[in-house]
Amino acid sequence: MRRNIFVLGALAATAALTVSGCSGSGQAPPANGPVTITFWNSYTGPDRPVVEQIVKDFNASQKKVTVEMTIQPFDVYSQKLLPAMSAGKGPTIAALDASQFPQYAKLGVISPIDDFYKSGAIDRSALPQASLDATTLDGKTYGSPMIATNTMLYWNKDLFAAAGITGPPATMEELAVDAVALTKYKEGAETTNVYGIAIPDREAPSSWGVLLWADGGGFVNDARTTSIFNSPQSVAAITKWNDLIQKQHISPVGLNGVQADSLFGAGRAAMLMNGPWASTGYKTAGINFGVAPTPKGSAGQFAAAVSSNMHLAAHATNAERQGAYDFFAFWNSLKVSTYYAVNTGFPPTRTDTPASDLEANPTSQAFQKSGNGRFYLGGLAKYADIDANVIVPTLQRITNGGGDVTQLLNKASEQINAGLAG
Amino acid sequence: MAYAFIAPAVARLGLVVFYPTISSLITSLTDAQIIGPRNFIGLGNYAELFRDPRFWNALRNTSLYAVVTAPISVGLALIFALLLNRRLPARGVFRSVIFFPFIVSLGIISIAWAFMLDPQVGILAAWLSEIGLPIGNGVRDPAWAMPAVMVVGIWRNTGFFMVLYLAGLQSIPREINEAAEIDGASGLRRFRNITWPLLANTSLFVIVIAAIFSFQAFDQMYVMTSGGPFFSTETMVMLIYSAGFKDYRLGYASAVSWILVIIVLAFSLIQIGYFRKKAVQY
Repeated sequence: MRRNIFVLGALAATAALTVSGCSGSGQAPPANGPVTITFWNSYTGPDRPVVEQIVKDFNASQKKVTVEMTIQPFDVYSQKLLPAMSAGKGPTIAALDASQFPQYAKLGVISPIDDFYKSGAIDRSALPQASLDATTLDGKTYGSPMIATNTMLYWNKDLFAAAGITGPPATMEELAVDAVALTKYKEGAETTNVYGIAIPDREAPSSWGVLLWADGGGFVNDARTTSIFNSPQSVAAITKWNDLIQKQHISPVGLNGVQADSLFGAGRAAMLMNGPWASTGYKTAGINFGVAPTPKGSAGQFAAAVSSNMHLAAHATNAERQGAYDFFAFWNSLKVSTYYAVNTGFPPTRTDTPASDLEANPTSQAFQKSGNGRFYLGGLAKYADIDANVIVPTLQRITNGGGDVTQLLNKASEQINAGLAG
Repeated sequence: MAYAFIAPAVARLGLVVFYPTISSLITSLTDAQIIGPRNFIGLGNYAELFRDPRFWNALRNTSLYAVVTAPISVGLALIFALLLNRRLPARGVFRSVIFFPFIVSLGIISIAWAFMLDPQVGILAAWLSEIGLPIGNGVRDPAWAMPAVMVVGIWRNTGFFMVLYLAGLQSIPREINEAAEIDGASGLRRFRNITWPLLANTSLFVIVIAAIFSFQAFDQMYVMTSGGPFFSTETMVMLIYSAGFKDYRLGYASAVSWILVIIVLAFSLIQIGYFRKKAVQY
């Protein structure tokens, strides 16, 4: 008998082991009762306590909705989110970079939120138009702004003064001349060289985009139907900056975002195009820097837009949907968006915020004036594929002297067009 | 009764080994994406990968990495094991220092190496420059990226293989070496005729594991080079990761995984066959 009991116990344990991985833990919320919604994001940086405080304040401000937030490192988050959402197990609200959103929308795992804007819970005209455009697909708006900014030109005042240059460049021509004048390069002395500008080719807001857009080049046309990476303007701009990199050594080759940051933070690069999040690190490093609008070129002045937005899961219930809308409106209220801006250096998501409300944080004030942001590969479902597998390796090949610029850009354009068609 | 006892182990193996293995084989025969319907396409993914220059590039990089890092790390491990099997002052410290890299996450190690080797702000780059050995653009130079990730792989695994060899050396009866010494055999002769043959079983295990580690190379490339510059350090596991988790082409990624499984299996069988013949017992 005891033996049989033991056998049954072993079988039961096996069954439990087998089934435990398959069971769900969801509990339906009571009808008309308080609703709990989940919110996933990857705000692991210095802005984490600010985001946590906003969620805490929202939960304390009313009793109908409770937001439970999970913050994960970006690489974990970006790998986990889509499988979770596609299995209907993801969060109610997911923060997504504007570049990631089209893929999620096309797969149908996030829901349009036009009814939120129509409800009048928030004044749509007071939100950044670039963010709304970046989360609109086929005439439907899918996102509520969370952060929105454009890159600006950080410049090291001490290095500029030492080179006898009085202020930051206003045009691309001045940028090129200043970058050469600021570079102190000696072959074999990479550990002490000073570079005029740090131009990262990956894992950073697109500096190459700013250089190309300013002179009429780019990556894909506005309709997102064909590559313009090999247009005469793109070829001319890439050739010009590649020559300056390879022959005048204005920037090291192959930098990623962190390396470019480190170089500017070490006082070894005189300029860098970056967002407001970098300013705290530069201040801590003791860099005497200023921020200026990105220089304008023959086609105008452009900056790389950075936008993260909150999206509603397609599987959300009506109660969860309403709870999420309440949270979207709270986040984009004048008070909360100012709180976020003052404590992080980002410009507020409310365009009607008086500049005087941002006096406590000059970086936020400065970035409020950053303008004409463009999204690098914006609105492309195959953003990650085209970025990592075509554009970055092509730019790396060019800047390493790995072939003829026109030929490499023609080949890349074929690959981009194949991606756009597929 | 016996089945009841093995049921927990079989269930666990079934869930975490056999089911995913068979599932990935089936997935490799489909056009599965992360979401949406999956259609059976037969050997379509395999046909595509044989036409894909990126697959061949990844296979070439993986083979180069394995051919260089496996023999060097095993050779160094054997040398360190022979040295540290003697009575030396601070022997434990040396053993610990060499073994230490293996117990630290390779991802963390790679971050540290990436900073140390940064051509502009890296401390190792600065020291090398001071002694007249500038590293140029370091891991960002396509010519130096692969050697840099190889160094990290060798540095990391040598300690583990050394410990395995130390265990093997200590299992060799001391009297055999003593008898040979009395008979006038030199150190080299004793190594060639006694130590090395008696280490055959250990060598089999170490070399098979070293080859598998090499074919699995991913972490340091992911952290230090992202597979670049322009795919010059993209290994097969990186390609699997990129296809599966960036492009969400699960079918294609599974097909590449199965090619990797076949390669590792073939290498392991060849090595096992070779070393079994060499195994000696006294």
